[in-house]
Amino acid sequence: MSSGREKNNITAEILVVEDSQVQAEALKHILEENGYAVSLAYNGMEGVEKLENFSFSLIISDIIMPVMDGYEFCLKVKSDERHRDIPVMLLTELSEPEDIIKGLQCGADNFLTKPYSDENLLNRIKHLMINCRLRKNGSGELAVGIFFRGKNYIINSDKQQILDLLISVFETAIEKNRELIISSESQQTLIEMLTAKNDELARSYAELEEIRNTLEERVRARTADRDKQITRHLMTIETLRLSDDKYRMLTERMTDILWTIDNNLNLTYISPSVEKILGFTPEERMLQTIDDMLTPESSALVQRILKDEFEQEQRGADPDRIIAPELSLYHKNGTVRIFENSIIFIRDREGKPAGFQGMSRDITEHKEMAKLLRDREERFKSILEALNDWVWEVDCNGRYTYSSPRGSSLLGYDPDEIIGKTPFDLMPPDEAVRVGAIFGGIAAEGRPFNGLENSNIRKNGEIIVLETSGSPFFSEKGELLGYRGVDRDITKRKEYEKIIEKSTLREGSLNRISEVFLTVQDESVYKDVLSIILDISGSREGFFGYIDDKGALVVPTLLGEIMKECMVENKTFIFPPDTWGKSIWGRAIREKKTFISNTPLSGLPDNHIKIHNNIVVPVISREKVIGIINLSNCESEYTDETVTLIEDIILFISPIMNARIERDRKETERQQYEDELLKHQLHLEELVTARTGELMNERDRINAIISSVPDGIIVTDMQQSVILMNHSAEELLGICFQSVQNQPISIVIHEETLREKLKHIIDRLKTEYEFDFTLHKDHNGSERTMHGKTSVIIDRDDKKQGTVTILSDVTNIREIDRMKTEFISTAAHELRTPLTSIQGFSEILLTRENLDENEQKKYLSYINRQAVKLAKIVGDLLDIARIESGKGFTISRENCSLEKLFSDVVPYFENLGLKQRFEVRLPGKPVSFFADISLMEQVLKNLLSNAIKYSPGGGIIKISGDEDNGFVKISVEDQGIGMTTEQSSKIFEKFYRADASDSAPEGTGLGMTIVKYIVETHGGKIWIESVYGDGTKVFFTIPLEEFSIC
Amino acid sequence: MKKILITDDQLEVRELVEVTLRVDDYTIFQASSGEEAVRIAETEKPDLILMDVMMPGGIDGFEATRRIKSNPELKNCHIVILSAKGQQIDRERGRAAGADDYFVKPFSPLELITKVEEIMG
Repeated sequence: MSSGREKNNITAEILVVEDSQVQAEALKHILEENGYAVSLAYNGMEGVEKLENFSFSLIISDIIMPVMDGYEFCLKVKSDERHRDIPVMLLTELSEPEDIIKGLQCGADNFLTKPYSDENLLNRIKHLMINCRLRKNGSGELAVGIFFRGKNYIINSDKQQILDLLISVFETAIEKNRELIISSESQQTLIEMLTAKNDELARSYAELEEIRNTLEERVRARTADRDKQITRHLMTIETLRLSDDKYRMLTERMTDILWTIDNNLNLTYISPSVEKILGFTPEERMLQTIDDMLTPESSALVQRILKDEFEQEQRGADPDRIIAPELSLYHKNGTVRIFENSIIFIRDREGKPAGFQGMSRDITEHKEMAKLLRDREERFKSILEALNDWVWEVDCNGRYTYSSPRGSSLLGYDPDEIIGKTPFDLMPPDEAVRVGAIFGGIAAEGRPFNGLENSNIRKNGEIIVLETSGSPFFSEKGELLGYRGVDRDITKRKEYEKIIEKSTLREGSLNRISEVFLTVQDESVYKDVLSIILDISGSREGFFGYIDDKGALVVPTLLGEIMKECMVENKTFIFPPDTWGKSIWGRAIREKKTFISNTPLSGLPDNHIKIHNNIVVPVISREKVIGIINLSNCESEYTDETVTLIEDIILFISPIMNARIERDRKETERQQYEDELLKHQLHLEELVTARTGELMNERDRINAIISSVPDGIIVTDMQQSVILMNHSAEELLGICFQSVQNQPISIVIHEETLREKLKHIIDRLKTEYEFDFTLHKDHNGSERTMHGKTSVIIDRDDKKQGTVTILSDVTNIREIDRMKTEFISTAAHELRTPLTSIQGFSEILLTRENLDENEQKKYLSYINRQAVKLAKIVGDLLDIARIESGKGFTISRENCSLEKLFSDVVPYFENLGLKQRFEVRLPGKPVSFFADISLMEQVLKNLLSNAIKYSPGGGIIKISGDEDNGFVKISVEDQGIGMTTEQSSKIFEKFYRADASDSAPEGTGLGMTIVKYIVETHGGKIWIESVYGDGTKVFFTIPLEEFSIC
Repeated sequence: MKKILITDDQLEVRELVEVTLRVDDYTIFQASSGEEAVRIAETEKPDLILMDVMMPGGIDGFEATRRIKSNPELKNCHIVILSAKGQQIDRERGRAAGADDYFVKPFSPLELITKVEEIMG
């Protein structure tokens, strides 16, 4: 492919290696416009890579580049056989000959200094191509194209020559251009240098003019002078012909050479000044021919002049005419001197030419000076022509008085057309107004100015942008005479700047946006990106949103004046698809395309901001619209360029944004999970706290319960160490738990029975064990019966953890047990005693037939009496059973009379024929109270039975009753055995009998319990006053009125 | 004629025993307390004493039995405890006191006759 391309050389492929993107683009632009195909590489390394894939016709390379510079790159190209023949042109901003040498050393074929003109560049390229072909054809050793003063020279020379030539050419060129070249690096320096140059030029012009004027004046003055002199000479010759010596003396002092020749051009006289002027003595001179004296050109000229003059003589010309040729004469030292001559004919008396008389003046210095001036003028001219800048001068009215040729080429007008115009005549009207205003100010103060940009219209109508700098110049009196300055064509630069600006804007924007995406993690990224895009597009308002999972447009923020004008809160707006309506952005999302409008939008709600122009660009990722950017109210209007730029940026944004949305979605999900997790965690913590609280409460409660349990609790582990004792246990055992914690029971517990029982259960590993033991209390020496119940603590895993022992003081329980046993025994006895009689006598009555009637009656009466006794006992037992079960008695209250109560009960006892006497005491007035009469009788009978039972020695039993403070108070007093204090305190306990021995009076021990219950049920009280051995007095009260328990 | 001493604080019981034993020829004495029983036993030296246990007056049947049995002159006197207390512990206490037999109230007169006849042989 590459070889094919090479042969078919109509469009040559050029590789441009240039690190400056701007310069590379500019170069590419120029080359492409001129029909070349161009590839770009941004450094030498890239260039080498490009070469690997394609064979180029020409390489243009910059020198200073990163990675691999131009020299190294060139050397690489030239040292590779495949590429050796590709001409390499080095572009350099450097201006030292050494750089060029370096370039040639590395094998470069050509070099071009920056800045270069397009024309120059293109010519170079053309020649390089030709040279390259020549070289290939072997038609020359080396053909080098030199472009100089608008002409191309092809030089086939050896390298040394080229080098010499190039260096010399460049030395001059560089010398001249160095300031300009260097100044191209800095606009300011360039302007200053140009201004300086301009001033210098102006000065040179002025100087030149002056010199010219002076010269002309001098020539004029000299001519007049000389005419006079010649006349005078002639006269003198005429008059002083005879006084030769005097004449000679005169002429010898002259600085000019006076001479005469005859018609055959033989010297007839030469003034002595010749020696001073030309080195020859007059004598030597006299021997010389005209050819010896004059250069061949001058000699020929003289021949021609003379011939001409003789011809004129024939035609009758002015006989006194002066011939004034300029002739070159040899000095004795071999140099050529130029002489100005005034020559007249010498005529004889007849007026015929007899020879010539002349005066020669050495004007070599003048000539040289003039030539110098001419050269200088020429040089300035060439500089001006070579300069890209247009040098001009305007008068104080702003009219051009001078315009360098460049002005014509820039503006397309002939110089004549420019002179007399003002710069403003060349500008579009509004530009003229603008620049006029600026320049007016500058000119008013007579200030110099730099870099004033202005647009001008070329003759062909094209717009050219110039950058103008100028300095004022003044008259000797200080009046402003005008401005001199330079204009530079910056149209291209402007275009490049625009391209660069656009590309910089794009790259800058992308960089800013990238930075935003990189640094902003939350949704304010949309706001930040939008603000950049608003800035780029020159839009006043806009919004930027994304499409969420549900397809709704989420706009984290609206920007610009929207908030203020619509008076809405700045918050995230969510627009579900059904709210999009006919909005342009809705359409843009649905249709996935960009909408531009440069006309005001109509049909907006009243409170909506006015939309003068609008762009909506959807953000599309993987063919899905993921967001939208809406820009409104551009200062001017939205151009295609803006749209392209925005779309370009959006294209750049979309994958990042997609990733961002995806990330945000995942983040939200993760956040949700985390929130949920946190919620769960909090809930758990709450539960734990609550549970812990509950447990603490529970524990506290259990602790409280345990410590307040009247039973002692001892907990041990399986190693028989005490791990817990409650307060009761501490009290019971007289041990402080704190001091014995975790100590073995064998040390802690002194109570032998308890200790052995505890050890026993742990050793045997029985699950439960109950035992009684006696505790000897120290303080009053009383014994307590303790009950221990030990259980093994078994945890959830069925593992034995230790033991818990509950110690209860069962002294009272055991006492009751004992009393119960005794009661059973007593009750059995009491029941059996009447039963013995009943059974025995009934059997006798049944089995004995020989019993008489009296006997039968007596036995039946025994049976009856014992049956009644039995019924009483059974009644008591039933009563106590009722009390015990909580059922109590059914009380049916009625009005009772104290007298009646006594009279119903007491006589029964009186009739029993007992040892005791009964005494009833009643108040003077009748006393009635509200109670169950049969229960009252039971109470009184009981008390009387006891009084009789416990006064075996007989005596008086007093029964008293009276009203006492709302109660009826009844007492029964005996003179019997009495009771100890202890007995008195236990009298109302169940089964208690003051004397429980077999020799004690009969009784079940239930009577007083029943009595107490009956009295209290009626709302009364019962109490005892007794002295051991000295009788007992029992009191009880019953309310007079119905007692309400409630 | 064999002598039998009936000891009981209850009149009805003494009457019942005496009526019961009247079918045979026995000389019957009655005592209403332990103290009285000991006294009569010492004077009358009965062949059989039917002794109640729970009696008021400081000396119960067991104590009376112990006292009578501790008298060498009365060691051949057969003492039958006739008590409403019929638990094993009571029987043991009776044996410990020196009683020869134990009879629990209420009793069948026929059984008592049979028992007394068996003892008196």
